[in-house]
Amino acid sequence: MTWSVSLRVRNDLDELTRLAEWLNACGERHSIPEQTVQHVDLCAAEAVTNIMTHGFADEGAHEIAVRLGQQGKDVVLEIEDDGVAFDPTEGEPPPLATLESTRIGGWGMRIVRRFSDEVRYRRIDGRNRLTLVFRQPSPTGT
Amino acid sequence: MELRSEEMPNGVKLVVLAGRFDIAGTQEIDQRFTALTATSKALVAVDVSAVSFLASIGIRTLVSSARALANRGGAMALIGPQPLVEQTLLAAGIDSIIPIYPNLDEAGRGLQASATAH
Repeated sequence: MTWSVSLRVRNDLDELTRLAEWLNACGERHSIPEQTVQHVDLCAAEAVTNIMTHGFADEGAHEIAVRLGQQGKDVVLEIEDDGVAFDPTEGEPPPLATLESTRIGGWGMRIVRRFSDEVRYRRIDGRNRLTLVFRQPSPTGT
Repeated sequence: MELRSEEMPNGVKLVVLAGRFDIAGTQEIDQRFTALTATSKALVAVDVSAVSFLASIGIRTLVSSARALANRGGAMALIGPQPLVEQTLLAAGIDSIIPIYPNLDEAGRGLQASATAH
């Protein structure tokens, strides 16, 4: 990547505030367009919440590594954890339903797919790595 | 997150939220929001025009409250989401279970129409 910065967060939902502040500060420091920062912020919140909620089989302390960087014109967000093998790109999103029947939850990956341009998952050396790519429009708008 | 509420003359309860509807925001308002929306047969219009960010944890609060309201014969509507929040609601399909209106007048009419229908 042209540049990248990293942050480690504990598997504690209270860390999400620190993550958001860090992402927004990095976005400003590296002149990432505001809308992209908003999308990165939201996708990171959803992906990391998923990991914290479903990713660990034990009650122990874990760390989740978040890396933000630029590759070419694209902004790239990488999230890595040592939890159970969990591919969030697999599986159908829950069907949209009525207020009475709708399942509470399951919206996270739907939101991630809406706001990122590419979602990739790999399992490497016992770790999950989720990579989200946010393409930047070219100056001509094409 | 900030929350304030007022009773409108037409019987609709207006709840105004402001700030980030993320984990911290949800924790700040969850109890008050649930209490405000737990009244039976209430018509609740939630003004989200000053909400800058909505994560699925916030959506959970909205949907749970909307469902509790509906079960008691009430209804909920959302008013004036900012583009990012609107796109988040649409991505999660929330617009098909909690109606979204551009302003309080239309929300009030929509809520009263749904109350008449029941």
